[in-house]
Amino acid sequence: MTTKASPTAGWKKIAAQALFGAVVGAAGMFAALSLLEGGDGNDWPGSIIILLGVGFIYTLMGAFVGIGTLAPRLVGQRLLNVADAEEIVEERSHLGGSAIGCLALGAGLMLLAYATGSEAVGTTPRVSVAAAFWILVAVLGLFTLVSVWMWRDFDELWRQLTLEVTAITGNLMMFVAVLWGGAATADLIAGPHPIDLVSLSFGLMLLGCFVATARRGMMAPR
Amino acid sequence: MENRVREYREAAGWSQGELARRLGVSRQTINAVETDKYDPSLPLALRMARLFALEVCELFIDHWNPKE
Repeated sequence: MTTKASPTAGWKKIAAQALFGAVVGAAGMFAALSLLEGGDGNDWPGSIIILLGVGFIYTLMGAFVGIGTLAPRLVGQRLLNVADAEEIVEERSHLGGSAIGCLALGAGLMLLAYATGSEAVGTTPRVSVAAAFWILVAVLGLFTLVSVWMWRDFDELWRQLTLEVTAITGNLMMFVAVLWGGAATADLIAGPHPIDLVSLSFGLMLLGCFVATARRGMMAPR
Repeated sequence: MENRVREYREAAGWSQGELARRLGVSRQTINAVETDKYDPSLPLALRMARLFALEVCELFIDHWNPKE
């Protein structure tokens, strides 16, 4: 049976989840920057820190969804925006695919940020930038395979949502790329660092996901 | 589009999960339809109406009127 929480309790749950995510995210980023190569992370250029942040958000989301999927009754129904634990069990394959995809992408992005950042401050990274790039390409391939498998299993709402995410992300990407590239060509602002394109693509996809799911009422407390 | 899915589902004594199972869709789809955040495809609307033994226009209410 579907359990019905009061609207206030629902929003409190969303606020608690957001606060928990923000605290864990901020603490994780601070720890990562402090620990990387003995504190060199703090000297990294802004573009690389942004990529690290984007990668961290994906990793965090993947971890939340993964833990919630593995333990639906214990933590899943508190951590994820679902009506009850049964819903997680029903959607286990999709949630599992999302968790694996987000974790792999997040790790790939963070690895690229680490390798690029270390080189930028003159430290030899344990993984070269080229190796990090090829790992990210492999992860993208895996993400594509997982997405195709999930698409085949999706019902019509999820397929519609996927198309909307793609459309929103594409439009946002064009908007930002045209403005930034155009303004840089006119010498109004600095042009993007190559790594900004990676951060932009994944960051805007994240934004596209939030906008599309919010439009379909899926961010509202259940 | 305004609809009466929740009303008929509750009258049938089904949870969102039960209706989703009968229609072969996710629970989120039923929730999105009931909260007016998603208009189902024509095949799904037809299946919903058939399940409740109704016409589609009894389940989904369109206030559109043809222009004179």
